Amino acid sequence: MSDLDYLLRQVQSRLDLDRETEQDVLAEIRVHLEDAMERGMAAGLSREVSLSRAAERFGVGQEVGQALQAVHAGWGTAEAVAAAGLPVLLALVLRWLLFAPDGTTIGWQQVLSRPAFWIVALVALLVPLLKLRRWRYALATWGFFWFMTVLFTLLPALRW
Amino acid sequence: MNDLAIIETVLRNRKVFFAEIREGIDLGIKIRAMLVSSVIFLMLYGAVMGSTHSLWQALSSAVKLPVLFLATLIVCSPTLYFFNLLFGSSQSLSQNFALILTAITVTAVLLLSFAPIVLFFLLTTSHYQFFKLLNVAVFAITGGVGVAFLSQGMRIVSAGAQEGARARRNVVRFWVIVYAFAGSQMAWTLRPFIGAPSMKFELFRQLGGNFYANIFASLGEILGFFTVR
Repeated sequence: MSDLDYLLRQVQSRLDLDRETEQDVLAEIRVHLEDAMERGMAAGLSREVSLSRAAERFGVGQEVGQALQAVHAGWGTAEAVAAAGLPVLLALVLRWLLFAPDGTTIGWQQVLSRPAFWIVALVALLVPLLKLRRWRYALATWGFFWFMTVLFTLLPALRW
Repeated sequence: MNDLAIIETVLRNRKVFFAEIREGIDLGIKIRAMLVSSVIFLMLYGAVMGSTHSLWQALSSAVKLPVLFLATLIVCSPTLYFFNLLFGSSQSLSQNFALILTAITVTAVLLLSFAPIVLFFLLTTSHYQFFKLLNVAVFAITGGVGVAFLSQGMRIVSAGAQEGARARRNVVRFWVIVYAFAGSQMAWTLRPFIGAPSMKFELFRQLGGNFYANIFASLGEILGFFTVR
């Protein structure tokens, strides 16, 4: 195991996040440390000294692990909750804001010409992209929203 | 978003979470975060339920569903507290409140996870009785998991006190039955949550009948025995 891996293990020992968030955090630290090491070696320092100085500068170790844990704990699930709830909320807004009072989507072409529809669509795209750290969740939210919209419009006999 | 982060702690690190409740660590913060999360999730699910009927029903159900859970919590908390006290528990009322709120939070987040499915069924079926029974099933599953969490929490929180431990376990079982009855009666009192398609929007319906008879009637209609008016 390299010194860098050992340092990252120390950080990881203090993390209790979901696996994906943990890997994201460790990968980010690794990139920063490797960049700093390369700069140190370019300045004529040995690999070990460069790593040691980079680690000092970033404060890598168990304390940093605890700090990262405090910052990232709970975000993975909170994002999943947002990804599950947001499309449902937007679908409800879409229904009550745009569709016919009887719940049918006959004449859906008119819906596409309403600014309110595009505002909802934009919100469905921008809020997840700006608020969620994982773009995949944002994409899933966006995809679900459009799935519901297409379902409404292609099957006008559907009654809400 | 910070308050929503508590969901991960409750679901993934439940032993640590319950141990912190036992020690009384950050009880106020935990209760606040669970209240905020539960109310948001229940409001959303309530809106989905009411959306079968009308916008007013959707808004009404979005308010009434959190009220249903919180009112049941308030009504049932003292029973659990005093019975536990009677059998040697050293927990405070706030700790009992936090434990029951954990069960409600778990129920609420599971309801949220069912919301896209219920929305899908809402769009693809127009059968009122089926939709009603679907929701009863969803509530039964999520409520069951919620009270299972509560039982686990109770075991962890009262792990230190051996005296009366068996009696307290029975108290929790008895309380779960009381909670289910009180909850279903509260739901019946606050109905409608979905809204019968043949009826106009009403904030509350007149009292009469009961939850169980209505569910059996819905089952009867779905199975083709008779038609509910």
